[in-house]
Amino acid sequence: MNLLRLVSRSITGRKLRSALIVLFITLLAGLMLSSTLVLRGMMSGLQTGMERLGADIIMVPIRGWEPALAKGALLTSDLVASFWMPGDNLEKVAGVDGVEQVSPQLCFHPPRNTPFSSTGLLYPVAFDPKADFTIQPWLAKKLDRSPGFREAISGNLVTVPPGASMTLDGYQFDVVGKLLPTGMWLDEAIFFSFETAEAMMREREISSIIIPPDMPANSLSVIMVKVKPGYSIETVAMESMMAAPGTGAIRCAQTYRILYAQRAGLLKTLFASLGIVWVLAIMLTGLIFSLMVTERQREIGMLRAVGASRNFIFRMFLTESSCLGMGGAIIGVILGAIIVYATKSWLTSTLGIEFLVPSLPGLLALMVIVLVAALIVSLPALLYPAIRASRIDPAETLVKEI
Amino acid sequence: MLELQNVTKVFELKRRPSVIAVDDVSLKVSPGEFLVVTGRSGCGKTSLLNIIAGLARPTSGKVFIDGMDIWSLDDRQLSALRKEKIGFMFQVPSLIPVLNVVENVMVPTMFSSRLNAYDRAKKALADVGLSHKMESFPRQLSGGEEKRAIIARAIVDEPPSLVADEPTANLDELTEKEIMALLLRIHQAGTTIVMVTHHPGLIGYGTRHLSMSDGKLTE
Repeated sequence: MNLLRLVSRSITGRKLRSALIVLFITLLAGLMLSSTLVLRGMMSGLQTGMERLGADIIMVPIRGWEPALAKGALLTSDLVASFWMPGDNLEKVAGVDGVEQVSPQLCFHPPRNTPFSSTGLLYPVAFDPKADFTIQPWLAKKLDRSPGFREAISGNLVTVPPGASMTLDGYQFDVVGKLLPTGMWLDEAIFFSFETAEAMMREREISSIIIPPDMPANSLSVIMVKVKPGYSIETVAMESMMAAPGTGAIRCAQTYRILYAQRAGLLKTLFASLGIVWVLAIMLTGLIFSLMVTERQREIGMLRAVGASRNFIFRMFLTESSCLGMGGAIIGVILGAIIVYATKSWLTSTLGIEFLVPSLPGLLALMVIVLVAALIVSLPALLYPAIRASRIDPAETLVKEI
Repeated sequence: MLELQNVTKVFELKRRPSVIAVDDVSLKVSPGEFLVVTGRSGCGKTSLLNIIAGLARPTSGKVFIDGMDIWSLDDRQLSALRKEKIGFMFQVPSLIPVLNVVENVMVPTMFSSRLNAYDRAKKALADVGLSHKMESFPRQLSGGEEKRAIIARAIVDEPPSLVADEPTANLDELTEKEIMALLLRIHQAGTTIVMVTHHPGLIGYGTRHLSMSDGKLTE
C-alpha cells in the first residue's frame, strides 16, 4: 500500500463520483479548447488570408470601394464583381514610383448553390498567371507551368480535384491545381487566365449568370500592387490613385483592421464567454474537490491518527484531484478538437464566420497549451481543497457523526 | 508511559457558552496497564482519549508520551510518534470503504519503515480471527467483524499502546464478549490499553478503573 495505490483505489472505488467529476471537467476542457480553436481560427483565418494575398495595396474602382468598405465585403468579391475600371489602369499604376509589381484580376458574379463547393458558393476570378504574385504562391502543389486556356486553379473548398473538369455556366474548365486553405473567400474561388475569360466573354450571346451583361470589354476589377522595399505604402497608394483616376487604394493592413473591427463585437462576446467559462470552471472545480474533502473528513482523520502527516494528506488529495482533472481535461481537449473539426462547415455557415483550423502539429501544440494553461489556472482549485484537507483536525472528525 | 499534567480542554462555541470537556486532569498510565475510563455520554471521555493519543491539543496542561512533551513536536514528528507508539480504535466507523479488509489493515504500514506489510496485515487479521474476510469490503462486514478489522489495523505495527473509544458500542452481548476477549489477549501480550466506555459492565476487564464526570477524573 502506498500513496498512488490509495489514490488509485479511491478513484476506481468511487466510480460514479469519479465519472461525474471527469465528465464535468471533460465538458469544461472541451468547451475551452473548442472556443479557443474557433476564436484562434477566426483570427488566423483573417490574418493568413491577408498574408496570402501578398499585396500591399489593392486598387479597386472608386464606385465599388466605399460600399465595399462599408459592408466589409471588399474581399468577398460580391461588390467587386459589380464595378470595373479600364484595363489601361494597370500600366498607369505599374508606372508609379515605388511600385514593384502589379497583377490584375477580373471578378465575375458568383453563382449560388453550385455543386462545386461544400458551401454552395463559387467565386470565378480571371487573373494573369504570368504577372500573378498573390494566387500561385499558395498552390498546395507547385505547377510546372502556368494555367493555360480553359484551365483553372481551385480554392481549397472547391470539390473538383486537380485533373478533373468542371462545367460552369456552360464553360468547361480543367482544374490543374488547388490552393492551400486560407479561411477566406479564396477557398471557394476558381482562378483562370484572362485568355479564358476573353473567350467566355466572346461567347456571351449565350445567356450567362456569371458574366454581367454590362461588363465593358478590356476591364479589370482589382489591381494587386506590391510596393518596393523602403517605399511608403501610403505614399504609393496616394500616387496610384492619382495616376489612375476613378480608383481607390485599399491598404491591406487597413483592410485587416476593418475586418477585425467588424468582427470585434463577436470576438469580444466570445472572449468574454470564454473568460466566464474559465472562471466558472475554476470555481466549480474547486467546489467539487472541496466537497470531496468534506465527504472524506473521517478518512482523513483516521489517516492522520495512524501516522499520516499533513503533507501526506495534502499530496494525497492533490494527486487525486490532479489525476481526475487531467484525465477529464485530456478527454475534453481531444473531444473538443474532434467536434470542431467535424462541425467546421456547419459553424462557418451558421455563425457566418470563417476560421482556419490549424494543422495536426499546430493542433497538438494548442491542445498541450490549453492543458498546461488549464492546469496553471486551475491550480488554486486543486490546491485549496488539498490544503483544507491537510488542515482538518483529526480529533473532530473521529468523534462526531458526519 | 503516558502522562497528562493538569490538562484542560475547552471547546469555544459560536453564540453558545464554551464547554469544558476535560477539566484539569492529571493522569499517569504505566506500561502494561489496562485502564478503563467510564462515564456517561458527553462527560469528556473521547476528548480525554484524543488528548492522550496526541490527536487533540489541550487548551492548557501538558501531555507526555515516554517522557516527551508531544505538543512541543512539529506535525511531522508528532505523526511519527503516533504511528510508532499508539494504535487506535475509533468509536465511529473508520475503515476506508474503497479498500478491502487487508488493504485497510495495511494503511498504517504506509507510514512505517517496516517491511513485509502484507504478511504483517495477514498475521494481524489471523490474530483477530478475520483471515476469511481479507478480500471483503467494509460494507460486507458485520458490526463485530468491522471492530475486529479495526483492531487488526490498530495492532498491525505492534504499537506499545492501544487506545480504544467505545470498542463495543452497538454490538450484541456475545460479540461484545468476543471483542473484549480479543483486547484482553492483546493486553496480555504486553500492550498498554486505555479504553473509554459508558458500559460499567466492562470495568472488570481492566487492571485499573477511573470514572469521568463533567470533565473530571475520579478513582
